[in-house]
Amino acid sequence: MNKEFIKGLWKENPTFVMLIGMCPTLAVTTAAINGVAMGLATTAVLVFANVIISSLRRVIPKAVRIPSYIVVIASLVTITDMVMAAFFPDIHKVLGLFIPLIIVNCLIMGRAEAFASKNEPKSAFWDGLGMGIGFTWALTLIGAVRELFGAGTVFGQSVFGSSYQPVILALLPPGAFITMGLIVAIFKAVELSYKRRLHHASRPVSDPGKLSVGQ
Amino acid sequence: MKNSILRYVLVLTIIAVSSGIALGFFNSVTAEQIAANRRAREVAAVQRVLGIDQFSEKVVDGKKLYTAQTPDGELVAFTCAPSGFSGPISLMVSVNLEAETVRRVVVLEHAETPGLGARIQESWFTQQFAGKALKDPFVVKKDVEAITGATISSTAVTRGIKEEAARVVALLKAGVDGE
Amino acid sequence: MLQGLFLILVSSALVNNFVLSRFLGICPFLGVSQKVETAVSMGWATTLVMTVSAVVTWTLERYFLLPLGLEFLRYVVYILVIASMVQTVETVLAKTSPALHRSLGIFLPLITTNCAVLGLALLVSLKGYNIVEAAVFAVGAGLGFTLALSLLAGIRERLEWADIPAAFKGAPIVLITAGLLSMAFLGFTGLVAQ
Repeated sequence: MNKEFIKGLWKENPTFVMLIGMCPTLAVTTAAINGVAMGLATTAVLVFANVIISSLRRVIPKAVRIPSYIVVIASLVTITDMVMAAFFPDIHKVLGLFIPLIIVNCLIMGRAEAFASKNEPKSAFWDGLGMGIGFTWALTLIGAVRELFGAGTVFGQSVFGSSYQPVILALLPPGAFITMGLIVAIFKAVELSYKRRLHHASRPVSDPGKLSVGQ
Repeated sequence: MKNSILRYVLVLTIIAVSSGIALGFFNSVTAEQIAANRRAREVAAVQRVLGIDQFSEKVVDGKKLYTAQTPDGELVAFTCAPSGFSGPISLMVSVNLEAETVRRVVVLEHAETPGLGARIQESWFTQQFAGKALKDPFVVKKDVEAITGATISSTAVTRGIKEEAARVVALLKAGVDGE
Repeated sequence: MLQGLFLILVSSALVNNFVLSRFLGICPFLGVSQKVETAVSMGWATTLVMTVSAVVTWTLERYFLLPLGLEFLRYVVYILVIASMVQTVETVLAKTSPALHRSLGIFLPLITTNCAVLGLALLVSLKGYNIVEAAVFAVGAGLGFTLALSLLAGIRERLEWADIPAAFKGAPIVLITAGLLSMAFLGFTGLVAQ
């Protein structure tokens, strides 16, 4: 375990702290299992993209780095798409359009630009893995919450029993925004109370609600 | 200056060419499996709707039909995609050609509202079409029970089945007469 | 024909709004919606790039990728087209209309990674539209994006003055507002059958 790996899990969590890669986060999380699948597909692309871009960081001239990154990322996503269609056809069908859209997930381009282009492949690998897993657990959590309220199940297992009247809204588009908003608010409340307890500590606590353009 | 532009072009070309090669390689490795998956999905849907493993395929007037002989008579299966509440509803329907009745309806894909229109997939809804005569009125809330709160989805499915079944039966009859 | 095009326009702008029901373009939706004025500029710039790149990717798909059996290069080709269209639009604007370029300039580079643009190009090939339908679909999607963005910006300008609980300040309240907007847009479902 090293610090490049750890930071993506909580402190710089891409979803709840940095709020990037929002499109797949909101779109595919109607069930926990979709969150896991989307998260793992993104992690695979992110780790490979980070390692490749980091290994090529001295070869690629600064002026053409963006088109180069785009080609590398788009190729990796195409490969992921083909592999999923061949070996996991059911989950590939559920995620549909959002697999190719991993290309424009700001998380991947963001890590390429902010980390992989400046660090050696080994740290880039850990950075990608940590960020990817941070992204995966966040998506899984949102998926689980929406599935729990929207269908009364988590990972397909009944939680509330058969008499539960599902809150359909949780599965509809507004439910995605509202669930995400409430989870970020809880995150923020936890950080705020933590900050209050560390009243005299000088270390600033990162602001989970900070909005960045993220691209 | 000139040198650096040459380098840009060179680097981009190398990256693009290696990406093309990598994608070509992965495409050749996975293409067969992807096609097999698609075929398996189609076959599974047909087998489910016909309730029988052996069937033959033909294309009549651009429409793909799956036929099978059973003790109950000749069956034909086909797909149709009526417009539902929030997009096309993809159905597979089988019809008994001799009795002119619907045999089974399977919902393949849809984008209806979860908990409301999405209940078209539930068996109580699709099963009410089983054994229904094609000359029945197929009117929701009369001879077809609608899903509460999802009349549009229910009507779309009901009408889609009737219209496409009538068309397919007419196509097959025309084919027989023409021979 | 005209009726069909109108249905595509209404459906892509309202019923299946790219942001509020398809979840495409969420990053700029949350990131560039502090002020109505910038939101509208971002919306127009995106609409422009969307329309141009939908037409170009449609042409490439039809006359280059499909005939040569190179469908597996689709994603790479599409994203490169989008990136170069963004560059082209920026250069052309800088030459022809400096005023417009000043107001849209800073947003243009962000559009490359706006998933609504790539999503649109992919949806066009998925739906099998012809070139006119593709262009209309792109305009509708762009208008819908502009509408959602400026609505959210209008609400956020008011929210500046609201007394929001500490934990909800910033992103959470914006997300919940977006949820309510999306709920309002649910009213459009069933308006036109696709």
